[in-house]
Amino acid sequence: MKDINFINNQKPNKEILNWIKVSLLLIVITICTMSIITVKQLLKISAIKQEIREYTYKKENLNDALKKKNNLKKQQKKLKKQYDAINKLKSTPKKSFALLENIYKVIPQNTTLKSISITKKNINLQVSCPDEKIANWLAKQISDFPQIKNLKLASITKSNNNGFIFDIKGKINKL
Amino acid sequence: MISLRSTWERLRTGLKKRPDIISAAISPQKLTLSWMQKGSQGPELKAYETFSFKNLEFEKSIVFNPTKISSFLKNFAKENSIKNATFAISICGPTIFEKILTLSTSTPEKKDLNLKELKNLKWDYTYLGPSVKNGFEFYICGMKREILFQYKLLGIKSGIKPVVITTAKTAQIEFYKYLKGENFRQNQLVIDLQNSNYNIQSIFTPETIAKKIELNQNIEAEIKEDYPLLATNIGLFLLGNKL
Repeated sequence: MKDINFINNQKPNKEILNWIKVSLLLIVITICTMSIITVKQLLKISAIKQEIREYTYKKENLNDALKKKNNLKKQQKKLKKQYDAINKLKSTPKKSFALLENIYKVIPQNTTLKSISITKKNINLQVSCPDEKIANWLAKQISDFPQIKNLKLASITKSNNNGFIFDIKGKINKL
Repeated sequence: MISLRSTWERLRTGLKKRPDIISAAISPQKLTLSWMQKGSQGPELKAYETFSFKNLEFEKSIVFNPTKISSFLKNFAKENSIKNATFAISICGPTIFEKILTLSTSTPEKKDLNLKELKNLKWDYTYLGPSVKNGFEFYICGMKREILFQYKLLGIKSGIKPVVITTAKTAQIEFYKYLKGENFRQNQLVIDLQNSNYNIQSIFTPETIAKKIELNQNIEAEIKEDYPLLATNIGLFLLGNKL
């Protein structure tokens, strides 16, 4: 015979056991969920830390590169200055050349200019000519140039081809 | 919340110990509460109390004053120091549908018993035994879901978990089975039911009931008039203990 009961009951102890089972299940689910969330967070943290490490390394490299870049910029500026100076010097013809040209113009036909040396302060000429008069004339002509002063005959040497070699020395006034 | 509290109480008292059952037989006139425990010779009646309904607390099987009825339950448990209690309740009245049905088969399906009156009711049936004439007799009973819900709410309100909600007749049949013991036969049950015009409580006499339970003299004097209700209470106790 079946008992009539309008409420569906479980055995009291079974109910408690079910309650314990459900509680344990919920605890396990909670622990699993918590651990999944925690592991996810930890993985995220480690990924962020790795990223930070990479960025720090990159930043260090960047600082070095920036330093190098600044140094190079400075060097470039310096070099440019030098380059400009050189170009300026290159573009302006030397005044000594003009002086040489003028000297060469005044040298007569029977006279040969053996050597010429022009420094900042001094000028030395070595000419070969037949006599002393021509050498004096040449010295006078050259000393008329505004750039030269105190030009004098310094020595005479007899040359092999019936002439004389004169050393003329003077001072450079201003080039 | 209450379920949790009672579960915790049960855990505290130990898993092995069964909760005490308060049997409550509710009728339009009165409510009888009894506390029984398993004794050496059968159920031992520890406490018994009757409350009469004078102010329409319970009318037509509807609980009109749940506060008062739940306070009866609570006070009964408190006075008798029953911790970890559950209650088994039997209801009778006009809103409870009850019918004895004779069918041609002893193993009908639920749809075979589907009566028009059972629509919108929470219902169940039990096989009583072979009919005296032809066929097989079944006891069908049902109650409105809202009334059932009222009794569940009563349990929540009193803080005592209901374990059995049934009809008085079901409890009485259970007591009949206990009364007959090993000699219980279903065809005899059907005969006894027919002889008593399906009023099974008339079969029980105070003497037969007194033989089957252990009770002290104070209670015995108190329940002299309520023997039929006591039978229902014992039936409820037996039903509750089956769980």
